[in-house]
Amino acid sequence: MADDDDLDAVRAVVAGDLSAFHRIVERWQGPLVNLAYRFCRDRGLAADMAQDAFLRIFRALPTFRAKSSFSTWMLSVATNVYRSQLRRNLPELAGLEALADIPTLSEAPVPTSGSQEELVRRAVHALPSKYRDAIVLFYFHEMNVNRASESLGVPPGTLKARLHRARGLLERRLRHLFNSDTVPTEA
Amino acid sequence: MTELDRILSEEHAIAPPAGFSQRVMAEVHREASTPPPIPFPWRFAAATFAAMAVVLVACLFLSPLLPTWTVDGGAAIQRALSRIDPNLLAMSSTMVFAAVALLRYSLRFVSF
Repeated sequence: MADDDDLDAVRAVVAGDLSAFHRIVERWQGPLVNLAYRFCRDRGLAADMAQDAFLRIFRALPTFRAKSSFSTWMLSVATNVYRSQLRRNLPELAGLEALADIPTLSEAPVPTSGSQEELVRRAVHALPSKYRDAIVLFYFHEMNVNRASESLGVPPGTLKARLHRARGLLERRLRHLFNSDTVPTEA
Repeated sequence: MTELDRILSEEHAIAPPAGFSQRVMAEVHREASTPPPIPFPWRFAAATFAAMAVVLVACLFLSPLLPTWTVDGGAAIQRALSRIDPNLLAMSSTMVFAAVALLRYSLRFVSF
């Protein structure tokens, strides 16, 4: 039903009815802002990134061919926008430096629940971008490999390999927080 | 579900800032009212490239005869044209057009 509404809105926008795009924005602003926030961890930047994503989606609407669902296509476009913006704004080196800043077992204080979550998220964002993107999209799509791989534009097997590698890196870095048998499993 | 799964799955959702959709729509309306970019003038460019190719070929084959032209223009041109190897001319023309085609194909992957 929601997909039908989206398709109706898309047809109306392509036919020249700009107000129909407002329905798309209203429906998808939450997911797009939240996906951007998962990439950048900054509320203000997330809103700017989501706005850019909506503009890119608006420009690209005439190329939407309904081969996949509108939501899949839209999230894929938004993901590309976010990754491009992060490449421009946050060089890879910053991520590696952040990884070095995360305390290791010997120097870390006993983590409280809040700081534990913060350490995990910092570790994820310190991963090389292709592993970070895999983790972000995998959990954004509620651990659905197929949907995450469609958003990322890679085959499911490639996403699984990146998730495996990312988990290995996280496990090494966060060994002091979790036992080795607590690394995440694929859905 | 592992502890890491739990932490990464329980991301707190944030709400879009107030007026977000209005700002987006304002940008959309601005975008829609902006005239489309002027397309690259491929016909003009192709004609220019072709003219340049002709001039290049002419210079290539006729330049050794330039001093002669000043004395006996018409006859010199006829002699020069008769000296041009048709195979060489065909090969040169093909290379020029191939270069133009390759250039045009390459430009598909860049935006102006």
